[in-house]
Amino acid sequence: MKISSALFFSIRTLPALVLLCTAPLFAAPSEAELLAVLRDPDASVNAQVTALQQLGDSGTAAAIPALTALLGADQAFLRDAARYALENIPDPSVEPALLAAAEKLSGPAQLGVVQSLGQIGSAKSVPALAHFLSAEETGLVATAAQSLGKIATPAALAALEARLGKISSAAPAFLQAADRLASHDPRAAAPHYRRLLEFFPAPSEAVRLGALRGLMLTGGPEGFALWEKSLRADDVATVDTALRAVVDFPADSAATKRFSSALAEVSPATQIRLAAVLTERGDPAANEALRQLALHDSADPAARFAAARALVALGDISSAEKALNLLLVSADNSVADSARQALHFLNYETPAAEAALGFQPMFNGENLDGWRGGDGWWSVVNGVLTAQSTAEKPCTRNSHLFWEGGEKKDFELRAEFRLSKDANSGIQLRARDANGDTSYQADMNGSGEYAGFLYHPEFHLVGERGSQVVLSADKKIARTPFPNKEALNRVFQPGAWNDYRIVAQGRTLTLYLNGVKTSEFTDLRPAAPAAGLITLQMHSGPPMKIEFRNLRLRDL
Amino acid sequence: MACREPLRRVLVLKFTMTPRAPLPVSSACNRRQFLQKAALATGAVVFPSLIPATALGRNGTIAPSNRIVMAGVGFGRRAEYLTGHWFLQQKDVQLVAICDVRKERRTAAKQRIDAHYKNTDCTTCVEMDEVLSRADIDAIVSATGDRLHTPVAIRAMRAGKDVYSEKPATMTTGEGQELVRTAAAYGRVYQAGMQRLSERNFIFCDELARRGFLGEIQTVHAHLAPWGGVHMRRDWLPEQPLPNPAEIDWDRWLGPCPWRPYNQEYVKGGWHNHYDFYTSVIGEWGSHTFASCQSALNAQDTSPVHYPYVNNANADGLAMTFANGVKMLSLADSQWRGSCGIRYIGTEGWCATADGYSAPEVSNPALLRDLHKIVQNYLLRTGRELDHVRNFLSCVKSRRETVANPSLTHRTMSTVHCANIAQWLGRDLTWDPVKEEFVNDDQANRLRSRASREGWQIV
Repeated sequence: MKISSALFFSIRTLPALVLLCTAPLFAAPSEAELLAVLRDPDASVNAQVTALQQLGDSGTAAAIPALTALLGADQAFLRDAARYALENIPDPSVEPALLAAAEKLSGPAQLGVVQSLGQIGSAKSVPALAHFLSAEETGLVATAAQSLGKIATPAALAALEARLGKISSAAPAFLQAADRLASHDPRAAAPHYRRLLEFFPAPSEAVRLGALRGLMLTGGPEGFALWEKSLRADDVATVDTALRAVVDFPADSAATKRFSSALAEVSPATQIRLAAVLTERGDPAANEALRQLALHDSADPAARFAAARALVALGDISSAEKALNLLLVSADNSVADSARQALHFLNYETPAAEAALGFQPMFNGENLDGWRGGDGWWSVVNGVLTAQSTAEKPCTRNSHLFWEGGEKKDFELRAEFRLSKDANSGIQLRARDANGDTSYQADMNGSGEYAGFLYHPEFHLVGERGSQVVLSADKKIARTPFPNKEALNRVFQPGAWNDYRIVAQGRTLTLYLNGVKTSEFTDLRPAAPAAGLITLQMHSGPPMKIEFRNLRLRDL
Repeated sequence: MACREPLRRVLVLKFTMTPRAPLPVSSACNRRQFLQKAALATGAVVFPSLIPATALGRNGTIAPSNRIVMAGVGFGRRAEYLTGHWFLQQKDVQLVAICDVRKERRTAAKQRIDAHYKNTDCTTCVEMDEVLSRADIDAIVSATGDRLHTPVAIRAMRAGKDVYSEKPATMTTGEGQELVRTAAAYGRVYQAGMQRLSERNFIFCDELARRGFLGEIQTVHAHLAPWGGVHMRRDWLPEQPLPNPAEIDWDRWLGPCPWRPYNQEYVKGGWHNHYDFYTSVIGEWGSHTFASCQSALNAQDTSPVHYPYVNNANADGLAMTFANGVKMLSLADSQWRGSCGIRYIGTEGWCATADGYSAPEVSNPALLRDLHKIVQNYLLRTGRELDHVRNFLSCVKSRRETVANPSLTHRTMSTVHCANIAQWLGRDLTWDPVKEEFVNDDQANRLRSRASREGWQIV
């Protein structure tokens, strides 16, 4: 037990020693013992204060008289400690005791009691507190206002309203009271917010905005009209308040639709922030308006991007993808870049999600099980399927590593790949056996020149990056460029890990590079293979390093 | 009024277990099912909310270079670190004023700040109103002692300022409720200093838990400082002569807290372990580790419902239970190789990290291969940054909510307070997170708020 040498105590203050124990905190003496400490003239002030705190911890109505008596003590810390205890004793006779003291006391002692009435007071305390609003002493007035704000009964609100504009503390207290009322009866609170907004002279900016928020949230149709007006205000703070209200407004799809319909009418900066708070609000009823913005040709690119992002969050991923593909060609480079990244990540699914879709791994990350051929070029290095040639040992003839998963007809394949500067490779699709370069290839090379193309040994780079291509039965090529063809040149990331998503369905092969559709090729020739093998190519050429990982496939 | 429904856990199709019941939150929170649900259900990822640099100035025009003007309140040792390493480095921040009750601290802070900006513009003051009444100041960074975190934040927000506040952010659940109400009422951006919510390794672990990579989470471990104690003292240190108020304003130093005679130990950091000033070892690291755990468990708007009394000096082995049966165990042991560790244990794996780890530990090393992607996914989905201060600053501009927002902060600290109270009272406690009261324990309920000194009623 720790005992401070500076404290003097007598045998009668043994309880005081116990009180100063450091652990556990509430190994408290009985209420009678604590009250005895208060009566003990030799008890140290520390012991008395601690006894008072402990009466707060566990005291009952029996302690109230002794505590009340100390509300007018000479020493502030004793008065504070008495209130500390009284605020904690949940007995109905505390409030009348405090009220009586408030009438009798003056100065700081009275102020403290008025504080405590705000903490534990009820409707009973309102008349006295309202009376104090007319006091001479400004501290008392402000404290009474604050306390009324916490009690927040209709009478408290009325008392504060009567002093609006006359005392500066009335408005913030009135706002707090309105907020308290709104938490259980929003409709009843609306007139009070309106009063604050209409009052002249206007309250502080902070209170005005609080009242604005309150009325937006509780004012029904009037609140909406106010919201619409505020969203278009000149000053940022008012717009901010309207934006936050979108998140705080109760769940209601009609409200969401109304909020989102403002997207068409506000400035780009506000569109962006409105899209963000609509996302935070989390209601897909906003999607119609978001779609309109995202797909609107002449809207601000950053705003369109924000709308696209919101669409993904709110569940309309296909519209978002559509918008993002269009944004790839934006003149605003940072939007185009963000769109590219976005599309990439839209295609990233967790392993569990892919498994649920039916994807099976093609490569085990440890050895070449499931793969054959490759003329010795391929090995597994740090979990990565790697082919590497050097100056001493160059690759002089195209070589293929065949997947032993068998012939695949309609499928979706996903894989990540990384290429050195001069590397040339590809993923063969629907290939015949033995000779490798027999069929379609999702092409790739280190510089990215061929990435995203679908290559064919007879027609070469026929599956052009940036076009929908149809090869007719009589070998005529028809191309329809994608609207974002230009931007597709920037999708490949040289030197980094990229990913392919290849969808082979019937006669059409579609390539997605880093999530962005780069090629859609339809082969109408009778000889077009409907099924075949999958291989990885090592192309002849200068020294190169080709890496693949995370190869997986599902049947369609 | 403003509150949020927690993320509903949507298990990917692979798992056949029924999803856990949602954690209990206030009935007024009934929104936002779709936000995370859509993203998680398909496994699809949301993408950058990175607002391109060309957009989004505070005045509505396209002007990214607007500076956020800030004042520092309570600028001692922690603030030295915050300013030196975090705030002064930001190109879009201007620190213009320092408020501290200690002259030595004000002077030192001003010197550092003036040296950085190469001018003498930084003003100093003792009374917070002097910075709160300035229209040019947008936000404050508060690094006062723990006892003043909530009062300072509330005063600042009522004056229309955004707040970055050090942790532990509240002393009682009552303070936390007022913090949440005030931020909502005044539309303020608030960030508490639980910076691990913005750190890569911790985010990765949180995401593994949230997104079902570890299966259904059953137990989480939260690190407590092994050298701290849970039992607080109420005795006064011996009285020493009051210093010159021009040097230290003792009355202001105390603020709303119960008065005691001055002793220099208090102001030199010796306020730790005093009941009136400190939230024990549980608050010290729990403010960090409980925040990460609750965030990972989608328990941002609730707290555990059961708190046992563990009868040891530092609350080691305190197993708190959420309404859905998940356990959070606070541990002072050395299973971690650094401070503020967390561990999440699920039916299909576990992960752990702490300060100083180069990478998290995971039961399945293959998960680490996806660390970058998983963290990127999180950043892009939430629009946040791997930088706690930048998250605050970008939210100041966009008015979005920060990661250590008032709700998560209040609920994390509520857990701390409930855990403390169970140890202090020496008995198990049950907490109702919707009504925010203890069940059948009047004495515990008394400790949800503390009276303020005369003239110091802020909260």
